[in-house]
Amino acid sequence: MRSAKILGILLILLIGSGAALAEGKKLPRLTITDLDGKKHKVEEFLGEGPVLLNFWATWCKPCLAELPKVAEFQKEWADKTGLKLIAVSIDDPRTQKQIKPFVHTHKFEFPVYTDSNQEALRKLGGRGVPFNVLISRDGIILDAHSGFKESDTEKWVELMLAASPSVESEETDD
Amino acid sequence: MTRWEGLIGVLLLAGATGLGAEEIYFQGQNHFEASSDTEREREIVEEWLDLDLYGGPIHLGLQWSAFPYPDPTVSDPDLTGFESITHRFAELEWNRQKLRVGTFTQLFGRGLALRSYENRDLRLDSNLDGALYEISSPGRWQATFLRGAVDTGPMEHFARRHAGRVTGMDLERSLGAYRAGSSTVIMDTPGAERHKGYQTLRGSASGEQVQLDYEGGFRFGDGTEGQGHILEGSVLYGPFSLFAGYKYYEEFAGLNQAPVLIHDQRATLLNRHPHQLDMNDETGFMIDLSTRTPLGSFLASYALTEHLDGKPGENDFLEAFLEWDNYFSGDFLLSAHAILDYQEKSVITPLDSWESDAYLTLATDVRLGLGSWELMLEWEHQHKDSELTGEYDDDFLVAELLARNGWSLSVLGEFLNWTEEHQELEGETDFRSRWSGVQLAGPIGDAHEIRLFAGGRRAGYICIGGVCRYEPAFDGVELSFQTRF
Repeated sequence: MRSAKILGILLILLIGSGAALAEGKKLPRLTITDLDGKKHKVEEFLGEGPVLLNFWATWCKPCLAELPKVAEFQKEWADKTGLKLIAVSIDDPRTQKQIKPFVHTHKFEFPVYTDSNQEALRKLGGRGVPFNVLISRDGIILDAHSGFKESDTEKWVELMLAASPSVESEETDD
Repeated sequence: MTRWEGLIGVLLLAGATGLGAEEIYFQGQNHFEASSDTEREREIVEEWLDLDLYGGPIHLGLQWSAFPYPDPTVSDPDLTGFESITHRFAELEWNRQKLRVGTFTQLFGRGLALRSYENRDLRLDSNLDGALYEISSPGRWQATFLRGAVDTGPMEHFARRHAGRVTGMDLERSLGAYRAGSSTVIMDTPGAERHKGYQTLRGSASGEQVQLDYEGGFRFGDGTEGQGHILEGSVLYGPFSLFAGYKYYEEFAGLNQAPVLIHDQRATLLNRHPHQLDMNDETGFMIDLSTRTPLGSFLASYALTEHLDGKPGENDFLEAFLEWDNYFSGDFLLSAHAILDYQEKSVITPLDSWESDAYLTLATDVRLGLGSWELMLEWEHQHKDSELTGEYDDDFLVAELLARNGWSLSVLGEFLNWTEEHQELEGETDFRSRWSGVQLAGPIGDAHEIRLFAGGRRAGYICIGGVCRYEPAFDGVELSFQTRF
């Protein structure tokens, strides 16, 4: 029985290798909490432009190294595409009150939310931080993966432009 | 899961399959970890498979877990392996309401009355099996009701899962900048004559520059007098932030988490000698002062946690540190971080002797840009001064090369100047002063992530929010492979 299950998993892995990923799928219902404790649905942030969800934590060294780069990318593309960056901390619920002073001291110029029980992260297929998810304005997951690579920015631009042809034509006109 | 809960699940499943095919999509993730310790001839294989089906307002999910060889932290020699469907649920969301039957995790407030959660790094899973209902009015109020079975034995013993029953209710009301909430949790444990209950109240006031939060409560039902309180506040003024907190926690352990007033640190050596919370009897406070300057951000912190007087055991912890970090927009120097930290802890050892240890740690890391590569260099130095074992030093070094495509190659080394006498007093069985390893990690396409480690690693704790897991010493090869589909 165990062998059958393990074989089943291998089969799923093989299928998974060739199958479509979380990308291209509709965003599941996700709830995140702001630093004052109010709950929000991620879909509230969609509509005006794509949304980049960056899952991070105050204790995560690679997260803090990549956040300034991700923020720089968002600033660069905010005017052209309406891109929003939402940083979602997975800090333990018992230490989450330390996040607001941390954000103030580090002068984060983007909205910060929390996902203390990691339910939103899990629904997006993440198992740790850093984890980045790019969502189109109509709620389709364009990209989702751990960490941040320099080459991600080129890929994200392509995906955003493909998802918003009007922006692409403006770019071409320029 | 009871019969009626199962019936609701079947109805939800029927609803999901009844939806139009174009609305249904599937998501899965596989997480596989395997290690072979060549020194100790121990092999461990762990596997988690998560499958989710979304269809309109419905979400169905299951998780299959397998531990063909026991987790090294489990001491039960009879537990030789485990495989089972550990999570399975059906969830329906409509008009700001959510109904879920099957397994679920839940957090009330900040977890003082109830927190059930899964954390694979800690190999911890305290999910409930039953039904959960949530209803809310946007920005005004929210109510949660739940009932489920929960494990009452050690977390790793999946075979003992779902032995007790938990019933809970949480209400929260918002009025502009003010919020108030209340949680009630009742636990029925097999064999216990009376149920035990937890009642908490919470309130917060938040403004642009000031925030104040309180949560506190008492225990009822089983005749034990217990209470828990946490008060935290922060003030943001110009480039400065001040944070202060106080906690008191007595006979309040349940399916919840004691409040914590310590920091989760970024340095490896600081996380290895942390304070493991006493889940029942503690008091403490913490003060943080941080500021932003043209030279970077600075944080000065002082925290003290003490075991309550008159309670059995001893588990005190003091931590003071000064931390600096800066992020540069230049091409060469990308970021730099340093922390000077003093920790002092007093514990009753397993041999019933009292021990006080002091750790002075300097940890620093710098990230450099080298064209399309990044180089991260990290050095941590820790001096330990223990009443029981004496003094010695520990150095931990990491050099990591990160490529533009996300692949990284790391070389890790740890060196101690301790003697065999130190090691004997520390309870070490294999006398050793050096460990080294190499790690390769990166994505394979967009769907897979792999991490390969070869070498040795010293034993120590992994701690998140005061909850710790002991990782034994390791020498061998380790593989982690994750797939999303």
